[in-house]
Amino acid sequence: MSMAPTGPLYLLRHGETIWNRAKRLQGHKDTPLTLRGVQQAEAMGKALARELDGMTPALFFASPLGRTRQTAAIIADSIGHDPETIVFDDRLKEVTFGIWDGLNIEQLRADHSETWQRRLDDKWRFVPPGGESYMQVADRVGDFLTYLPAQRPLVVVAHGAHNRVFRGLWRGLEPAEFLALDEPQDGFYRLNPVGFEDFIQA
Amino acid sequence: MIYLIRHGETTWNRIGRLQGQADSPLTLHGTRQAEAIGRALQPLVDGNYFQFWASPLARTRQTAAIICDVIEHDYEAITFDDRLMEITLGARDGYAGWRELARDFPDEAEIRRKDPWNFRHPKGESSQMVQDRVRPLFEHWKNLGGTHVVVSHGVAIKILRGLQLNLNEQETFALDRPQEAFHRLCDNRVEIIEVKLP
Repeated sequence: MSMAPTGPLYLLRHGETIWNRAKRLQGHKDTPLTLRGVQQAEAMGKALARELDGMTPALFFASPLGRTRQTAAIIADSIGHDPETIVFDDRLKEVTFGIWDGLNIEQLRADHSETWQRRLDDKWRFVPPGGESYMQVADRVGDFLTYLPAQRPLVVVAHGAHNRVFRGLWRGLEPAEFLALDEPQDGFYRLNPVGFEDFIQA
Repeated sequence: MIYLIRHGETTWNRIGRLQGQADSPLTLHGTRQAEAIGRALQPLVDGNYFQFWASPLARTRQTAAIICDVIEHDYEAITFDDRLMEITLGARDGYAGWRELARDFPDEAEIRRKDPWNFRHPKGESSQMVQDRVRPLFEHWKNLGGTHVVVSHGVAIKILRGLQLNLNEQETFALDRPQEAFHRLCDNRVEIIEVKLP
């Protein structure tokens, strides 16, 4: 018999990166955090330390991409958690836009207006060339959630689009609602229990 | 004028784990070191034209991005050059520490002790090999003149300072690798600029 987990899961996004600022899609490509981004990571770390109030996370997960590794290290230091024990999980990686990874969003819209329109027509199922649809990402995030350990509290450091899918599945939303969620970098979500979330401002 | 800056403290630096060309991210402390270096560098390069060079490893990219924001330089204008990467320990990159390495591979440790400059870990580089790859870049900066800001690594920077001062192998090997200071190569001198953390 397993007990229903009590205690929260904290879901954080990495701080602002060079390409976030330049409005370029990152996907599975990567750039480091800006000065503002490291300040956001530190502020989120401090807010998480207040939330945990002396507790230590049972498990700390992060996406293995560079920007989440960098953010996770700052958060771990801020809450006194050993960064060597962070568990990197590929299912937490950002949505990849395939050959569009690294492109400026406005440029993409201008150069590939037809494909872009097809994306807007069905964002959930649309697969960018060489990339993933949100629906495919929901499969791997769903897999992560299905096998989520029962210990709490948990900390997860991942990505903007990824975290929308994560929160959507957690709350049992419809696909259209997933896509309308926000992607803050100045705070994070406390998910507890299944179906509910609260925003924690950093 | 050449400014040589080592990346800030990483999670592996803190626990003594060997990085080489493997990588770990900056700690919170390392992030603050990078920002402090940027603040100290800012008045030195303010209003001057300079070129920004960096090693493409993650810890130097992270350090360079923070410095760029502080000195208001475009990160996208950095030239990432593989020759500025850290010495690789090959098969031993990421090893737990020097003590563990000596314990597990005593024969290699003995060879290294006798001739540290030319020693290579399996599939790794010697200090001589690193000097051979950074020398052309060093000479390129000297020929170009002007100001160059360089973000690189402990061993690579020691070797660049050794070239500047015409040091021999032992003297170069004995140099330090500070993270709360950086070096300025000017004429035939090397100056150290200490930074204060807030």
